[in-house]
Amino acid sequence: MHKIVDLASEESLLAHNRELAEKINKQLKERGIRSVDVMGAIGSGKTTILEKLSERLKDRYRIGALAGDLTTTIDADRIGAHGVKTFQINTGKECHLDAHFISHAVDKVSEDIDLLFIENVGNLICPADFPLGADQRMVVISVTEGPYMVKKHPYIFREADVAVINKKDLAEPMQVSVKQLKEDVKTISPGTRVVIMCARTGEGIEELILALEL
Amino acid sequence: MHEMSVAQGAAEAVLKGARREGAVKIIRINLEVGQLTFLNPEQVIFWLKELFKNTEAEEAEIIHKIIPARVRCSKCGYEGPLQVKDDPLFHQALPVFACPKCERGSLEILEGRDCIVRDIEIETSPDDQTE
Repeated sequence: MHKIVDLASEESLLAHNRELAEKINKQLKERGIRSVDVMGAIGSGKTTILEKLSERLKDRYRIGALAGDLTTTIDADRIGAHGVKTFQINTGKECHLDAHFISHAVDKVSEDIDLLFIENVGNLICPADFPLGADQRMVVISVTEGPYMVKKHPYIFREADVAVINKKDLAEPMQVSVKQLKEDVKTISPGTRVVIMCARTGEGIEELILALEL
Repeated sequence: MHEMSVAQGAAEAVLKGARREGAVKIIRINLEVGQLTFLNPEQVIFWLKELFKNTEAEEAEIIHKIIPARVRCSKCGYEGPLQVKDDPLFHQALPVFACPKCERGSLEILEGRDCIVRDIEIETSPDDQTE
């Protein structure tokens, strides 16, 4: 005989990830840790920005960083060189961090930090579907990726509290309009704060700290 | 790229539910994909078919439905669908995350960010006439 079985109440992977993310956020808050999920394109400057932020904030916060990477510890090593306590998450073949990875990693994060950066895998697509439980989500793109990075990846900008447009010093040789990129973000997601930076020289770092309310 | 992990979750729900109900065969699967997920339904279905090989769901028909986004604005109280921008640059309509009423960006998503199996149609053992 035929039968219809209702499965709507079964666990959905994405919903499960969101619930786990909320739990992580609560845990971090209880431990007095503020957290920022740093997402962005490959080579857009996520690690450089975290290096600069760490330098600038190290007297005000005890900083820790969880660095997600497929196989290497290059990013964790670079951030760690600034006195930040780093914790590596190698995702193997996964293209994004998810709340499950983080739920295991937060146990390893030492008690004596009060600001945690979570550097996601370089990817503008998948992380959008997987919140990690950070207080804020930030997305980084740079002008060297061309003029369409925002338009082509609208979903991640919706998710982001702060969007960084990096490498503004290269806008002219790249013939990319920073103003247009900013407008693209504002069209898709008016609630997202946009910061224009040149992370290499540190330009824009104060604006970023303000935008992240740190 | 994460279609496979989402499909794994869905496949598990299907097989678990079907076995619990004593299915010998799964005939139809009704899948719902939210408009705001970053999932490509064709890819989710491809992975489901792969995962269902050599199971009771091997021959199941997989039907998918896109669940449109529904949002609520915390500033003006608007509740309903998102505004969609039709830009010739895009080959699909692009949802805009500003409130369609007050144009501010303070939207809470009520629906459209999940991927679930709504229900399945199964065949139970032919000699099971008791129900």
